[in-house]
Amino acid sequence: MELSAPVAVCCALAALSALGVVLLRRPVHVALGLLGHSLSMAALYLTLSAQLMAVAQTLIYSGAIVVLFLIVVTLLPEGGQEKLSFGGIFLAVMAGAAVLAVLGGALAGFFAPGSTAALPVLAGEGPSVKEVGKPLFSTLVVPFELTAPLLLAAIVTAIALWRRQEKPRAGGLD
Amino acid sequence: MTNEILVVVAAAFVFACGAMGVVYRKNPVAVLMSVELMINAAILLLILGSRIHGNAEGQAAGLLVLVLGAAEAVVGLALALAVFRSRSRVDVDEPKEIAG
Repeated sequence: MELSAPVAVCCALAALSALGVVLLRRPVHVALGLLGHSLSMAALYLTLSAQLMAVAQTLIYSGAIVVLFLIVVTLLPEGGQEKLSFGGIFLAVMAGAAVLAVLGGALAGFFAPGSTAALPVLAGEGPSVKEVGKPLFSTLVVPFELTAPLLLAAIVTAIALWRRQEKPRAGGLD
Repeated sequence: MTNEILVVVAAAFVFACGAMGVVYRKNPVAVLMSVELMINAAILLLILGSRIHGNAEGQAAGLLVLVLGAAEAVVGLALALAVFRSRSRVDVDEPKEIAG
């Protein structure tokens, strides 16, 4: 598939908003960057004809997780403002460059002159929602069922961590 | 350059951004958001693979990873609130009582 404008625009938006998440200072702006990133990712999933994932990304990430992040930002002291050090920034640039170098080395085959390496493309539509549902109840049924206890454990952990912080009230349970 | 290679390059860039954020951010919320960036990059590659091979299992696995990301955010944010609510400064390097 030759380069098409929607894919290029979505990729550019996703990359820019990811940079925003890393570089912006105020936590609220960072949360807005994450919102833009997840929305552009959802659009990118649509261009890859993964409609179910696009809807799930919009509902779970843009809807639930970003709101959760915003609530926590309001509860943190000073709104979570941070003081960054130059040593930390240097380390971060080194880490980012190292990860990019490793991933770039893995991708180098695509860009070498005269290389025949390419990702084969399937023509036509991607898997439909019905086809995505099938492995969830056949080959991936164990991980799918395990998500239920995982989410339950996450909820119980969150409540337990929070209750430990609360001071016991003098009057007992009422 | 084809669409697929552009998507792979974008995923690599987003993952590197997330790794950078995890290293230098001091705010626990921003660190968790950087982790979410890395998870998003991984999901994007799963979906691209599913599209290329015409195999629905990649998308199904992507859904499961999405749920994992949500659970990780819930526990991480609860931990951040429990540790930093009573402090004057928000700095993930500061609390000594959770040092290993």
